[in-house]
Amino acid sequence: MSVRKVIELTNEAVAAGVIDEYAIGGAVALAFYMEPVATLDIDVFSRRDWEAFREYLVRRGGQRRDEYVTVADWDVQILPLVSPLVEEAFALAPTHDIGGVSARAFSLEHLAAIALETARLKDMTRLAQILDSGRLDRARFQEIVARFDLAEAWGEFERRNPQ
Amino acid sequence: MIDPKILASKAARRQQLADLPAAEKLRLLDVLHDSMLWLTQRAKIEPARTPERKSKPDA
Repeated sequence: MSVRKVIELTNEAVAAGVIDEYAIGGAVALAFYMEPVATLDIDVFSRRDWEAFREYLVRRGGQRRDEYVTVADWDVQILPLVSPLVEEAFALAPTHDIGGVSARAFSLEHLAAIALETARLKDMTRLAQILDSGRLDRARFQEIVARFDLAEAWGEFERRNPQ
Repeated sequence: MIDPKILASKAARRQQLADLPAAEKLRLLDVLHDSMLWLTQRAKIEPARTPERKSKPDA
């Protein structure tokens, strides 16, 4: 029952050539930078070979449940790079050490920008949590916001959430 | 108006959690996840995945 097990299997999928690379997004990625927050699933982004990756996880004991593969009790959602912002987040994802195991995860600044781009209510909550954490590199975040045409959305967020 | 001392105390505790090593934070994530699974199963949002989950979370 461990997210570490999911990451180990994902690293093994890369080593076996099933996928060429991966990066974790969502609430699990946030845990690398902030206090952990509860989540039911783990978002794993891949450039291609999504179905081959799902089949690999099933061969390694996973079970398909709707759009997820359940591994080690975690619902793994394998996601494509859905926007240019997510493509950049994927390309620049730093590698973290989790006690001898490596894990690629989106940077905090990209997670914040993706939350702004996705803009569901829970994304706005997530963005507020990121800002509140004091961990965000504001200059880097602002640069991403400007480059991906999110300045208007950011202005609206700031107007609604004065700090 | 919330007492600023309480807010500062909460912020300090969050900071302590954020400063934990990544491996430890992922372990805490597992505990949170386990509790959420137990809650969803108890609320019958989804069925129990394993027999032990019919009772209570490991944590």
